[in-house]
Amino acid sequence: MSETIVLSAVHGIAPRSDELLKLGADYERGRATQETFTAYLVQEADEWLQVQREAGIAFPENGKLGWQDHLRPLVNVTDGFAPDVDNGTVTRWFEDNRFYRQPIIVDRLQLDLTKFEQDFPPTGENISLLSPRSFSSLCANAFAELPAERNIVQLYGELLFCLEQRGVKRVTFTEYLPAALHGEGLDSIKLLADWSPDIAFAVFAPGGQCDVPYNPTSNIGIGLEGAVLNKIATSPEYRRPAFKGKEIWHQAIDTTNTQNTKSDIEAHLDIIRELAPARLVITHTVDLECLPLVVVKDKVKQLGELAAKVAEKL
Amino acid sequence: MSEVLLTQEVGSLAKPNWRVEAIAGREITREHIHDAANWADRLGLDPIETEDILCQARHYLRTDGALRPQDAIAIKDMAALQAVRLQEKAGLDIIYDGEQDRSEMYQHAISRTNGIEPRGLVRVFDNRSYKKFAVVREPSIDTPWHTSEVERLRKATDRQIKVPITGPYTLGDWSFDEYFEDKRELVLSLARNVIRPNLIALLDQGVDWIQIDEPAAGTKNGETSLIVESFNEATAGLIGKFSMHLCYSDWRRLFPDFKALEDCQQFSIEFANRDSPELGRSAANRPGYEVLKNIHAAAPETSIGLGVVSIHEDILESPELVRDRVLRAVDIVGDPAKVFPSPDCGLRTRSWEVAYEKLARTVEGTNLAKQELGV
Repeated sequence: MSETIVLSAVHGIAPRSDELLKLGADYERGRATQETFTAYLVQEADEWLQVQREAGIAFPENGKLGWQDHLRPLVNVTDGFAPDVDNGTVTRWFEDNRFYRQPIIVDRLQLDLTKFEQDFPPTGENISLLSPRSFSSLCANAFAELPAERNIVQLYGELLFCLEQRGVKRVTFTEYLPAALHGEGLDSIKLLADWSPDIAFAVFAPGGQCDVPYNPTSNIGIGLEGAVLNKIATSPEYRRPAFKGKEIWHQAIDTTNTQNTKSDIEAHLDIIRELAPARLVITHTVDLECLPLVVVKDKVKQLGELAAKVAEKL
Repeated sequence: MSEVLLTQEVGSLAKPNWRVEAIAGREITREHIHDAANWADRLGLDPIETEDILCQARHYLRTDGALRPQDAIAIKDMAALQAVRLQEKAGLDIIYDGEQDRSEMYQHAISRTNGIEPRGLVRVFDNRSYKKFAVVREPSIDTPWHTSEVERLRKATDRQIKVPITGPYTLGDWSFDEYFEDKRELVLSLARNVIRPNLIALLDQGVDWIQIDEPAAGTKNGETSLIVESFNEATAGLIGKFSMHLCYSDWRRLFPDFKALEDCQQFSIEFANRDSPELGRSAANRPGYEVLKNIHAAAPETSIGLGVVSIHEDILESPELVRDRVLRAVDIVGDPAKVFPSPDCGLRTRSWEVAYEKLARTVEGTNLAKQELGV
């Protein structure tokens, strides 16, 4: 009998329903009140959690439905960014058709606790955040006294403290720069893990390449809940024994397209047995908000079913 | 008309509220009528006639609960005419109708294509979303969809026109593929069966210049050759002037491979968004335009549609800033006849007030640059 526990997880921002999108547009145009919009947002977040629970997702998230992008809610409650972010440079979000306003770091970053309490959107027990390396890479840095990533790490230290006060128990860092899973990028996460010992951490690289040589020594000493392999490598030379007893994330469900692509994970069960991770976390590729909600609900259901199936076969 | 530093639009303008509300069958208010008449007056059109059209539409909306078809046409035509006059008044040399008949650049094209189905809304920027479609069989078209715009525009202006049309790579990249399972096949099919018939129809109408909009170009690594192939597939053997508009992407991915574009006579590119607001013409002052060196080195014969005002902010660039951006570009390109100042992209997210000011400053700043260059 395998000792590997198979789980399923979502990450990133979930899609809003058409009704919520319309209400949001109406709210921005003054046709709906903030109370109406917020109430609907809360209701839809609850529904989204329910969808995940019914699918058997191990770490359900509230979907960050109120977030306009991965950066802005934090930028809005932080001192040290240029204040005029609403007029910042419009920048493409990595390789898809989403855009964000690029924040500019102009000083040492510090969470404004009053603003955080008032304006930072609600969080559940589980939340996925950009890794410090990814977050800093998406900002422009005009503060020469401190490298951007270290500045963000300091800010994240404060953020995690506040999130813990709010009841967050698990944080998944999404790392869009796979190289950052080595060296300094990983050191940043290790530091944050040391500062917040009561939060469980995981790191996942949704945009990462598969089958890349991986440096397991970076992970061995880390105080995270699990080590991370972006996708299960099929080539024998990339299978690392260091994953034994750690956590492996595998992108089994494609969220770049509507169709159900057959996951390759069942063909790799022998490899999984060989790697013998403590946990195998089955997840999807890119942010769920890249798909309409109706499609996403189906994909999440598939995710849960696939995890159950793999668990049974293992 | 001086043939250097010609100013041009890129595509869309916002649709006036009165047009949006009326066509949606919602109440036309006194404010809407006042706004429409006010703009008509400012743009040298007849405000009384404008009021009459909207009042009549309001009457039938109230009594019948719906616009009469002739009122809908009159309102759409009026919006397009005002958009044309707005660009003329701002002083642009090359114009279009502000895409007043198009819901949005992707949806307008894809929803008129056979072989697609709607799938739902997905986010694009901030809290904005767009309706995304899936290709479910070989795409085709029944009727080209820009010819009526051109027909109307010809009656409205004697300025040079440039027709913007959404490109095949962008249509493919922004759609779900539920048929081909190979992006190259999807994009080339769109080029061949959807875009090319539209291009032929426009050329048959006597259109001189067609701008193929490819905002998705540069999004994904390793797909530049597909963009090139689809452009060439769509335009192969056609006699006309073709250009390509690009925005908000990583240009480094496109050049030098874009050299293989056959007969692309202009790259219209967003630069101002990435540039400093400070005055000055040095490389250090104009960081947003440095990439122009690579573009020009890769395609020295191709002219540049030069984004000199940003379209995502209400902040108004000064004519002097526009001047410095133009002069920096002329320094790099070497020939002012190859530089066409413009907004970064379509101005549909700005109010008409702001859009007009940005266009007017584009022209004013370009005139300052011309003075300095003595052209």
